[in-house]
Amino acid sequence: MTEVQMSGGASGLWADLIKKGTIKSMDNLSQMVGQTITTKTFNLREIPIAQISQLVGGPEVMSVGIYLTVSGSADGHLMLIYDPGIACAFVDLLMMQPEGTTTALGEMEQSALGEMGNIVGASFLNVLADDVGMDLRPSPPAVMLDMAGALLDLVAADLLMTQDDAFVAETTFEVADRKITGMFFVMPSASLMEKLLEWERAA
Amino acid sequence: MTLMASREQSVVISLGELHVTNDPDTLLVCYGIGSCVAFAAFDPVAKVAGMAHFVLPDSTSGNRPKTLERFVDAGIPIMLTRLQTLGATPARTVFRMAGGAHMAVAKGFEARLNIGERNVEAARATMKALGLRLRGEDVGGTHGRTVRLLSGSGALTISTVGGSSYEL
Repeated sequence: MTEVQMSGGASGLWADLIKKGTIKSMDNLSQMVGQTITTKTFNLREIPIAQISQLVGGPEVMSVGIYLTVSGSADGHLMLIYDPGIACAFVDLLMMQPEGTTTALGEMEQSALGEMGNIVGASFLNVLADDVGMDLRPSPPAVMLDMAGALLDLVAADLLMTQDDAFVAETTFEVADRKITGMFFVMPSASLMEKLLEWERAA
Repeated sequence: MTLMASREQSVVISLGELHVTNDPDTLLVCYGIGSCVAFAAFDPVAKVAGMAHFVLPDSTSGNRPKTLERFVDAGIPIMLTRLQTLGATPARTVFRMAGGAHMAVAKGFEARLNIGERNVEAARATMKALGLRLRGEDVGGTHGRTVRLLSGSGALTISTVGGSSYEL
């Protein structure tokens, strides 16, 4: 089971729904890796899009990103972000290998991380889709290893088309018996925010 | 050419920003460029330098946000005006660009997210329309770049993950 300790800047039914989706996705990730996952922090806040990479530590920080776009009734972006060493540790967990076995991210390792993206992304979107009555589909995951700024450029480019600031749900989590931590970003586009707020007004 | 000297002040150009200067001790930096384009200008006579961190190719589609500096097509003319205000002449200014990578190479991302390629094409087209030419490009690929321009000399250095660093 996932343990959840959450607090966030944004509030309202839509914010609760994002939390609910995050809990579900962490729960399913927990089942996937067969370990307790503790959600350490949850922050849902509006920030300038240009500053999103600061949440990871800065645009030049080497990171592994597992990226999915959202399409259907509305658009958005989901990304799991890890330090490269942590990503390798996650691969060991996923492939049931002793800690320290994975030292590089080849095709098989990237595929394992992509599967993690599938589980987290689909779990999260299912909650939103079911509660709001939307059709939300995740893309296949793209696994990238590069500077955080470069990974997040795609998200920024999409969001900056229509807005200067965006809501970002930032979840940090850790796996109980290994020193593995990660971040899960949910970045709804203007269209998804509109749908969520519409749903809230009607509720 | 030595790029780094201790007296330099770094100016970080974030997403959608541009900066021009005639201070010879300024290091203009775009960190972690992926699909964005770092667009650099240097007038060797007036000693005026500028760098922009363009995010999107086209300012005419979609809702128009508050600032136009994030768009290649609108940002290049804005940059030119600011360079000229500091004494630069477009004809003798050296223009170079780096970035425009295709970061997400997974299946399904090809058509939707070729924003890097579109940024590069927009820069080439805008320069052509203005009757100016690019003297150097380091664009495309699937990797991020950090781009540094030293305002005093115009030295432009690109660094990528893994530690490789080269001048353009």
